[in-house]
Amino acid sequence: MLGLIQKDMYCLKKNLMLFCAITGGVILLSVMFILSSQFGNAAKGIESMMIEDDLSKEEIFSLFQIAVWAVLFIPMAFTGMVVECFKEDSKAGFHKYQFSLPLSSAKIVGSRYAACLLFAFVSLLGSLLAAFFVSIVSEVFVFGTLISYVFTFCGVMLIYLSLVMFLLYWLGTARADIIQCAPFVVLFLAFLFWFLSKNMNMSEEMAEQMLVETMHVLGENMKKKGWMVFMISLFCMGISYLGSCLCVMRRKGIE
Amino acid sequence: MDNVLELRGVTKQYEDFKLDGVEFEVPKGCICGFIGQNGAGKTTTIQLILDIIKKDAGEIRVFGQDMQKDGAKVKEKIGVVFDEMCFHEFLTPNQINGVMKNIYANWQEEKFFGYLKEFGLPSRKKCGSFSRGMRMKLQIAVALSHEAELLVMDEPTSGLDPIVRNEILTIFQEFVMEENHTILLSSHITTDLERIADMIVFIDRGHILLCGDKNEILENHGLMKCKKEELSQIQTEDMVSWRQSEFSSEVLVKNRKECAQRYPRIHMEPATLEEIMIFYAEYSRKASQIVPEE
Repeated sequence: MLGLIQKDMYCLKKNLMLFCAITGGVILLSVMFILSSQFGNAAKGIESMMIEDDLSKEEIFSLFQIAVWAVLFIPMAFTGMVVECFKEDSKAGFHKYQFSLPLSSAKIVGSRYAACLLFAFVSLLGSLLAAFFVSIVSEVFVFGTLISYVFTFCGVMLIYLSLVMFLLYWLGTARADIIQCAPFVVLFLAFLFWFLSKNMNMSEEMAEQMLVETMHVLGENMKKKGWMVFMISLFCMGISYLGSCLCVMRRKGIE
Repeated sequence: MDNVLELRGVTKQYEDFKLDGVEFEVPKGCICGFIGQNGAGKTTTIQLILDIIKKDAGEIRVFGQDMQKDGAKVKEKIGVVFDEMCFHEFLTPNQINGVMKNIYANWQEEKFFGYLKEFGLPSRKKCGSFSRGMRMKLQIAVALSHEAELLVMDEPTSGLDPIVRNEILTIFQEFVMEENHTILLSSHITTDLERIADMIVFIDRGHILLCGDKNEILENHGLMKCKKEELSQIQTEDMVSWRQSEFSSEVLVKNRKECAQRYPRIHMEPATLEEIMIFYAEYSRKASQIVPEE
């Protein structure tokens, strides 16, 4: 089982290098802007470049916030790369070869889920580190709040992967691109349906206000209950693992 | 003699193909050649043996154990070689060694690197840059490096030049020199099997048409070449199948010596494995032919 996890690490080695380079660049840029917002150097420079009545300080500050979220979110995105392992296995023919190895179906599936959780754990550590760094260089962001957001993002990513990995084991990698997009499409359609059903007789302003309120409630819940989302995601991973084992035992998706 | 591999009534149904009631045994210490044309069911049978796909019916026992129940334990003793390399192209043999030693309990690192040296394979180069022959040798090196007692190979010499094929066949012959080593080797290159196989199993359209000792099969079968009008003289019980050209006929018989005495005027010569395969395949397409004795 350790051998298969090792193999997955090699699969992602190339992506990992690119990911680290991008993350490093974003962190560097974000640190520069955040430090400048504290000490005023680059901010002053940017302020002097601002076109009158175009970008205001508040809008610049919003951009700083987006940079912070990017720093927190990019490590989470790394977890999604585990799907590449499925594609690489299929490309090499390893997805059939692995069944000739002295490993049970549960171990073969378990190694993939273990790799996924390992990536999630490493990315979580990276995000927590970034959150800690942001909180000590900026007065705007509180570490406790950032942690909750990090756990929420991580939990959401793991829930997404639970679904995607199960579908990949069930349907095979031929439909991998559709499988990866399907949860987003379903979520978007579900949200749209809910939103439209609530706003049938509302004006545009009222609808916009309702949307803002919904996002606010969502943000508040993410702030306070991130740990809950994370625990739910681990439960979803467990259910997904059992489902995937069943599919593999029946050799679904590989014939 | 102990059987290393036993298949009983193995069936697998696909939309447009059915492996129907496949039965054969492979005794310990022999090289079993599993022949058939493309699409006959060789790969499907091998995948069923290795538990890569699930059978619909029947029983498969390897080393006396049911693959579905004790598969993981049994697979420690099975080395596998496929016609296409199944390792990721970005992996180097060094990395493959690292992966395999954490999978096989009896992985022998020194032996693996010994084979790499013997086969001339660079250990730090990515597999994707290997030639076809090198990829095959890498697979063989992996298959031989964990104390495997059974090698299961699906067309390992397909697409290789004669020199590399010869090297690989020599490696297989050396492998079975040890008493408890067995090989199941599928191929449609009958000359390879004529050279090294001890027994032959011939599959066509999902059915086993012929199974037995290679030398006996070659000894018993003969090819009679006669004129078209002489064909009617040959009794149907003696024929496996025949084919006719404009002026002559060829008939495959399964009792060469008896037929040579019965039809002294008709030219008889030994049949090659390829000719036997072709005529048996013809037989399976002709509904009116007699069923050959097993």
